[in-house]
Amino acid sequence: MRQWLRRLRYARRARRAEADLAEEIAFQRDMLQQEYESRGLSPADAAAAARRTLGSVSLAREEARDVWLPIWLQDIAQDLRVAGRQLTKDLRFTLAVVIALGLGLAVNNTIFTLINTALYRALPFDRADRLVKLGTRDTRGRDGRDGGVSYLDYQDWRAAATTFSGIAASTNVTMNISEEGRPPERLRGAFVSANAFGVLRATPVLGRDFLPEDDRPGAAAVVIIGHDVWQNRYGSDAGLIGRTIRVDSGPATIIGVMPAGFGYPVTMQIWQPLVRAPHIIGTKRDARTLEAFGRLADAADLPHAHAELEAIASRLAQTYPGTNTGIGARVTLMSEAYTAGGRQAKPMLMALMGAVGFVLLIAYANVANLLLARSLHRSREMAVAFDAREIAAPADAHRPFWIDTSMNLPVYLFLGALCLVSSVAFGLLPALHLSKANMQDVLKDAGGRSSGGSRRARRATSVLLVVELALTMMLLAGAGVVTRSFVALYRANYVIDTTNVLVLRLSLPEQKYQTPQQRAQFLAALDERLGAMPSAAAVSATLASGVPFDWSGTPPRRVIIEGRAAATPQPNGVAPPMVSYVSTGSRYFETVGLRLLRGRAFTPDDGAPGPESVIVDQQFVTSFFPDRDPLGARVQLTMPKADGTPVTDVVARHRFAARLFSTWFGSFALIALAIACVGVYALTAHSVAQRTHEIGVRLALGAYARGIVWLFVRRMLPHLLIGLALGLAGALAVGNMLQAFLVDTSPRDPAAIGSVTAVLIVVSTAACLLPARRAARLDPVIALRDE
Amino acid sequence: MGITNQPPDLLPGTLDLLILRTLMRGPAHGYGIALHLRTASQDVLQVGESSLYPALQRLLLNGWVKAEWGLSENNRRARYYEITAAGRKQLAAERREFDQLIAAIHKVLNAT
Repeated sequence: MRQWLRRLRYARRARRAEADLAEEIAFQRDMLQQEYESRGLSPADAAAAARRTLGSVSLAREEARDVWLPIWLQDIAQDLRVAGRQLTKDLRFTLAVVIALGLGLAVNNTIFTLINTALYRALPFDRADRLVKLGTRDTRGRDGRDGGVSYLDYQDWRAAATTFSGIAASTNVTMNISEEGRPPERLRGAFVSANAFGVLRATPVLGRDFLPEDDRPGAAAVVIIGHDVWQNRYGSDAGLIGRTIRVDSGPATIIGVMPAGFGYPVTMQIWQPLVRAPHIIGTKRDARTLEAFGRLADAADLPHAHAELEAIASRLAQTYPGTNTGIGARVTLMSEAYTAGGRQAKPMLMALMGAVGFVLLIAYANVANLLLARSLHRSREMAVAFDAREIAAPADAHRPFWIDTSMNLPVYLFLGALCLVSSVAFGLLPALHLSKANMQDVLKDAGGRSSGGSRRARRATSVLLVVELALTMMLLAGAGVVTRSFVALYRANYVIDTTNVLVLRLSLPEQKYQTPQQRAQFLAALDERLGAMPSAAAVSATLASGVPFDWSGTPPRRVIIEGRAAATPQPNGVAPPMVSYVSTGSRYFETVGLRLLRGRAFTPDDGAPGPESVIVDQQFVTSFFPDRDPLGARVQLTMPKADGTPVTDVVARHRFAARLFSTWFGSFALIALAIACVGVYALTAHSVAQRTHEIGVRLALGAYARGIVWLFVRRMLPHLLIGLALGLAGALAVGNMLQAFLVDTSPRDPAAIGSVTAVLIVVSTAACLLPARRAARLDPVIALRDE
Repeated sequence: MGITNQPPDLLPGTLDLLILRTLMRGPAHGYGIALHLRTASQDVLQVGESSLYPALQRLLLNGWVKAEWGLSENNRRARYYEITAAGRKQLAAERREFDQLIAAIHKVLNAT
C-alpha cells in the first residue's frame, strides 16, 4: 500500500525524477572521469573509460523507471497516448463516433432511470417493503370492485387485527387556511388518523406528530403543515409552532411541520386529525371513503395479513349483514399500489428501452464497422465522458412526492454494465469479423479496391442501416403525432381567448354547509351576485365545477342514451362510453366566449330536481346522434362505481406520466434522428474513403462530379426507402399505444407523419451528400495514388 | 550491461544488501557507494549504472533508504542516500539470510 503511494508520487513527478536521475548519473560520470584523470589518463581517454565503466545510461534510466512503474502500466499509458493521437488525427470522425455513442448511452441511461423509478424504486419510507394498502372488495358485483374503508369498519379492523404494527386511515380534502394579515389559501390536504405518520415512520422536522388525544371527538383542533407551506407562506418561521390559524371555518393550532418532499398520500400540503373530517363520526358503515394503510408486524407476511383481514371482514359481514354482506378485504403492498401507474406505462417504457437499446447497438455496429478500416481504439473512454452530461430529471409541481428520478445505485450499475458490454463488443466485433474473414477475400479486397469491405460485412451494414432508419422513422412518427397533439391543445386554448379570463377557486367547508340544499343556496346566492356585478369590474362571471381543459374536478360519467342500443351496456362486457362533463352556472358560455350552435343556454331553473338538462358539444352529437336531432333527446349520466384509487391520485399520476412522456418522447426521437444521421454520414464517409482510388479512376476517365455524388446517393437511397416503409408500417401498427397521450389528434395523423417522413428524407440525404460531394471534389491525381 | 560490470555475477539481491551495508557507514552519493564497493572488494566488484541506479530506486521504493540533494566534497550538487530505520532492519534480516545461505553453500561444497 505504502509502496503504491510512493509509486503514485513518483508518477506524478516522473519528469522531475528522471531529471534527478540524469543529473546523478552525470555527476557520477564526472567523478569517475576525474578519478581516471588523476591516475594520468588524458581527458578524452578518461571520459571514454568513465563511460565504459558505467555502462549504458539509457538502459540504467529505463530500468530505474521500471522499478517504479510496472511495465503493464507503462504499456497502457503508451496505448492511451497512441489512441489519443489517432483520435485527434481525424477530429470530425472522432466527433461523429463520440456523439453517436454518447447520445446512445445517455438515452439508454435516461430511459433506464425512468424505468427504475417507475417500476422498481422503493418508496421513500423506512422499511417501505412492510407497508401495505388496505381496502375492501365488493364480491357481490360482477367484477368485484375495489373500494375504500368506512370509518366504522376501519376502527373494527384496527381493534381486531394482530398482523399489523399499525393501521392508519386518510381521506383527501381541499382545505382553506386563513389568518389576519395574509390572504386565504386553498391547500391540498388530508385528514389522517393520529398514527398515520408513525406507521409511515415519518416525523415532523418541527414541532410534534399527532397524538391519539388529538384524534378524539372534542379534542382541540390541531394541524400539521407541509414544508412548502412553512417555507412559502410563513417564511420558514421557526416560532410558528403553537400559532393558531383558521382552517376552513374554525381555528386550529399548528403543531408540526413535515419534512421537505413529504406529501403523503400524493402532494398534500396540510394534515388534520381524522376525527375532524366531516361526517366521519356517526357515519354509515357502508360509506367506504377512507383510504387505509398499515405496516406489517414483524412476524407477519402478506398472506397472513390478508387471511386475517378476510376473517375480520367476514365476521363483520355476519354482525352487520345489511351493510357488509359480500364485503371482503384487500391487502396490497404499498409499493405495488403506487407503482401501478408505472406498470401501466411499462409496455411503453419497455418499447422505448428496446428502441434506444437498438439504436445504441447500431451506433456500435457503425463504429465497429469503421474500426475495421481504421484502428480507432478506445473512443469509448470519450463516449463515457460525454455521457457524464446527464439528462436532468425535470422538476415538476405535479410530480407526486414518491417519484424520485435522481440516479441511484442500480442506475450507476446499469450504466457501468452498459459501458463494459459496449467496450467488449467494440473490441470483439471487429476481431471476430477479421478472424472469420477468408484470407483470399481479404487479398481480393486489397486488389480490387472498389469493394467496400467484404460482402458479408456490407450486407450486415445494410441491414443495420435499414433497421436504424426504420426505428428512427417510428420514433419520429410518434414525436410528430405528440407534437401535433400539443398544437391541437394550444389551438383549443386559443378558441377560448384566455387573456382576460380570471379563474377563482372556491371550496365550501363541509362543516358549515352540510346539506346539498345549503350548498345550493350559497351557490345560487353567489351566482346572483356575480350576475349583478358592475360591467366595469367584469363583463361576465359564472360558476363552474371545472375550468376548460382541466376536468380534474369532476370525474367522467358513463353515458346511456335512451332508445339507443349502441350506447347502452353490451352483453359482451363492453362498458358504456365515458364522457367528461362540467357543471356550470348560467352565463358560462358567455363568460368563456363560446357561442351556442343550437338550442338554449342554462337558466337558473335548470338543474333543480325535475327539469334537469344538459348541453353537449359537437363531438358528442357526432358520436351519439349521427342520424338524429339531439335536442330534446334524453340521456342518463351515471357515476361509475367508485374504484379504490382516490381521484386526486389518478389525476396526479396521469398528468405526470403524460407530461413526462410528451416531452421526453420528442427528445428521444430527435436523438434517434441524430444518431441515424451520424450513421448515414459515417457509412458514406467510410465508403468514400474506401473507394478513393476508384473515384480517382472514374474522375481521370472523365466522370462528372454529379455522377460521383450519385454513386453514393444511389447506394443509400434503397436503404432509406426500405427503412421508411418499414418504419411507417411499424408506426401505424403501434400507433394505438400513443392514443392515451393525445388530445384531438389521431395516432396516424397524416400531416404529422408526412412531415416527419420529409424531415427524415431530407436530413439523411444531407448526411449522405456531405461526404459524397467531398468525394466528387477530389483531385484525381491524388486519389489515384491512394491505396 | 556495462562491459566491466560485476565480473563475478552477484547473487540476486546481494547488491541491495551491499548498498545498505555501505550506507551504514553514513550517507553517500551514487559515486561514493560505487567507489566504496570497489575499494572494499579490492576491485572485484565494479558496479555499473544499469545495476546501481535501479537498485537504489528499489531501495527508495521500499522505503529502506531516503535521498536528499546535498553538496559533494568538490562542491557539486549530489544526491545523498541515507539508510532508514526500516533499511537497518532489512539489512539485519538480509544479512542473516545471506550468512545462512553462504554457510549452506559451504556445507554443500565441502561435503564428501
